[in-house]
Amino acid sequence: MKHVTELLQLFVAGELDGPRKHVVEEHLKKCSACRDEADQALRLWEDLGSVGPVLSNESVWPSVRARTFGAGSRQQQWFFGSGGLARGALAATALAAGLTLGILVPVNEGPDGDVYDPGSDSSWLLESSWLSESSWLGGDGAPGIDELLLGAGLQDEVDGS
Amino acid sequence: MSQAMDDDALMTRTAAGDEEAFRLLVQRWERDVLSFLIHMLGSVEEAEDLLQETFVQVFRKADAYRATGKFKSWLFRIAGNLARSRLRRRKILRWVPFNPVDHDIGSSQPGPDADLESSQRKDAVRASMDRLPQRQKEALVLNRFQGMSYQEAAEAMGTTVPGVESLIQRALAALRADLAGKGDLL
Repeated sequence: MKHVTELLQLFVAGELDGPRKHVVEEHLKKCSACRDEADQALRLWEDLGSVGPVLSNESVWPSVRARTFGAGSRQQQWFFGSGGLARGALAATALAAGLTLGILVPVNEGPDGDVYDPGSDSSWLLESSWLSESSWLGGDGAPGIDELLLGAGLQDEVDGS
Repeated sequence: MSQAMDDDALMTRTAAGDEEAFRLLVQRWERDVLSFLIHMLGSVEEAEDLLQETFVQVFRKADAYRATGKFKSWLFRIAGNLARSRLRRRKILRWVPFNPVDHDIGSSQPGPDADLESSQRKDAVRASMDRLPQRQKEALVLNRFQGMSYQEAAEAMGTTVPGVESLIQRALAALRADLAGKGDLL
């Protein structure tokens, strides 16, 4: 006779499906050894149910509310909640970068008042704009735009050669 | 608001900013989640801390929740993830010993013989549970203490039903072997 020891704990837990449950039930009718095993399994199952912690009646709701609805609207929660500081710093950095670029980059007109067109010849930009001045990079000893472009392998492209 | 309102409906209203709906959800589930976390962490203080964090996460993820009638599994998955994260932070792989004094169970107090025997047995069961591997204990706690079906426990643990069955079976076998080694407690 094949015993059903491995299934007994699942059986007492009520987790066996129909066919397996039927096999166990039929086996228990004629096997005293497995019935003893089933009794022990049932006792363990009941013991497990009795070792849970005793909980206080104090609700966590006030604390949770303070961190959710108490902190303001959901929109505020999104921005200032988890990761909000990082988002705020990112926004401030983006704003500062935008302002800086707005100050440094010249108006998008060429030397003759032409509107800058990225698709057209851009040599005017190199010849006459602040980009041709090396001082902005740190003084007389600093590399000019030609040196920089040469270093980057772009000189031919700029010269059109 | 109706007491009978189901969890999905409460989550929908929570996502829409309904504080009362969220309060009902928290108060409906807080004891179950706290019990689970105490078993997981072995510390009431830490469990209460993570209980709060669990519901804050529920609130923040409310928009992403899909109402499919599986709120309980979803909730315990969040709680389980937080607990595992906390355990990793402690750099321990085993469960913290469950201290009956911390849990105000009073099982060690002397009493009539029958009570004493019963409390000794409970202490032995508790100590054996503490020695179970983490996943086995989590599956057992979700099933036995939280009343989850294997399907629900599998969803909460991010595994399969046969996986949960295997975990629980091994946990119970280990418990029985451990308790059998302690004499005639079982």
